[in-house]
Amino acid sequence: MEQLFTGFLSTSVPELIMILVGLVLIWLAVKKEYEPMLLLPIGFGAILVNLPLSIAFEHEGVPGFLKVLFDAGINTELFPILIFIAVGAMCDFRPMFKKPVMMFFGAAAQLGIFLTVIAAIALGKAFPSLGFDLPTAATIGIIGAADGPTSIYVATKFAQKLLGPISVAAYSYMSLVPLIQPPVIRALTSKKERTIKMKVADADIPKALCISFPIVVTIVAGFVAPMSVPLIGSLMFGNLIRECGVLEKLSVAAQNELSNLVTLLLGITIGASMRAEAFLQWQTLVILALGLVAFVFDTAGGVLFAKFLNLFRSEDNKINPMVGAAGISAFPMSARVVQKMATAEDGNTFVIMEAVSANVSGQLGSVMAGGIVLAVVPVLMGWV
Amino acid sequence: MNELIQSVVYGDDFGKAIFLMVTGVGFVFLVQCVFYIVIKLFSRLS
Repeated sequence: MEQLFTGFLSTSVPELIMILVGLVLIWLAVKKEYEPMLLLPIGFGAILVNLPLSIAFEHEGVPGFLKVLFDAGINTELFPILIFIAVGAMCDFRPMFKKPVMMFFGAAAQLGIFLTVIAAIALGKAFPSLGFDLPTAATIGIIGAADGPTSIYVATKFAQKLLGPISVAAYSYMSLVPLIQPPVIRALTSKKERTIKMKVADADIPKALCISFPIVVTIVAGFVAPMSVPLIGSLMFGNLIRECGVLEKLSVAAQNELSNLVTLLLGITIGASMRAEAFLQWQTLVILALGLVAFVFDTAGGVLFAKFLNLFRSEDNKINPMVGAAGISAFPMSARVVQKMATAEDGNTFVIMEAVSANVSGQLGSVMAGGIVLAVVPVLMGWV
Repeated sequence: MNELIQSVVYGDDFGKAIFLMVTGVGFVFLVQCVFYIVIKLFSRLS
């Protein structure tokens, strides 16, 4: 008789809570449209893996389809890499080529990553039970890259047990950029600064530059930080397919079929890492809080850097500091937020091109930051 | 340089995190500088 009710008898309160978390993620995806392409599969994966006996993941040593996907796509880092090829094929660097000074905002807005690492270490010292050592802190900091695949890639290397909360934090905050960034920007800028009008840069971009750029970036990154090559290389490969002009079909396939398929599999597989025993811990709440801190610091880093540059620029050549906030990798959401704020302040302030430039360079910057974290942390830990 | 890295490696996590921040931000700026120069060069040459 008991066997008939195995499902009911095998469940536990933490698993029921996780099923509820999965339902909330699905609700956020469907009702609020917060990153639905990822939050919905993640939510459903979380439900699947927390159902009684967890057959979909692993039961009595027999791997289920989610474990097979996890081992093949996450443990091998294949899914994030494939996503990067798709992202590269979607990236248009032309706005950045028109105004290359905007590239530096893609670097400044990575400050949040590293400040959050310090904050995580401080919390780890104050509360040793959190177990935040340097690799874990670095993984948490990478949420500030505002770049899901980079966060997943670094988490896979340094703190695989935290993959669930890290991924959920990364993707949730990316979708919450319109809520997170405006208050930070307003707090750090005056109305006068927010209405600065920037000179329009309208230069022709040579095709040779578009084709050469991904190749140069890959080679430079390969020599300076070899650990970043899988990330940068796949991103730039996708971009080269797009820009070369002779692989239209592959470019379209990477932007659509590859992107959609891998996103689907990545989402449900990340959901599979949200098993109750791993997710329902104090660590998860702290990671979610630190992820928010990272996004705030990123935004502040970009805005303050723009203000710093303005100290050295002539009155008619100032940068609207809001553009600095778009230096994070959340594309194109951050650029849109900045333009929306500019329009709200003054209907004649147009910063969309500059914001898109900063946003695209933020995509480069976040991958670079991920690469340097992957390269330096093992050295500091004495692993190499 | 080696001595500096050694002292950081054998130091506490705060020192390591600060070292990571300096090298991380510095590296990203440096690489963006290289790309900036490449873009400017292309614009000049074309």
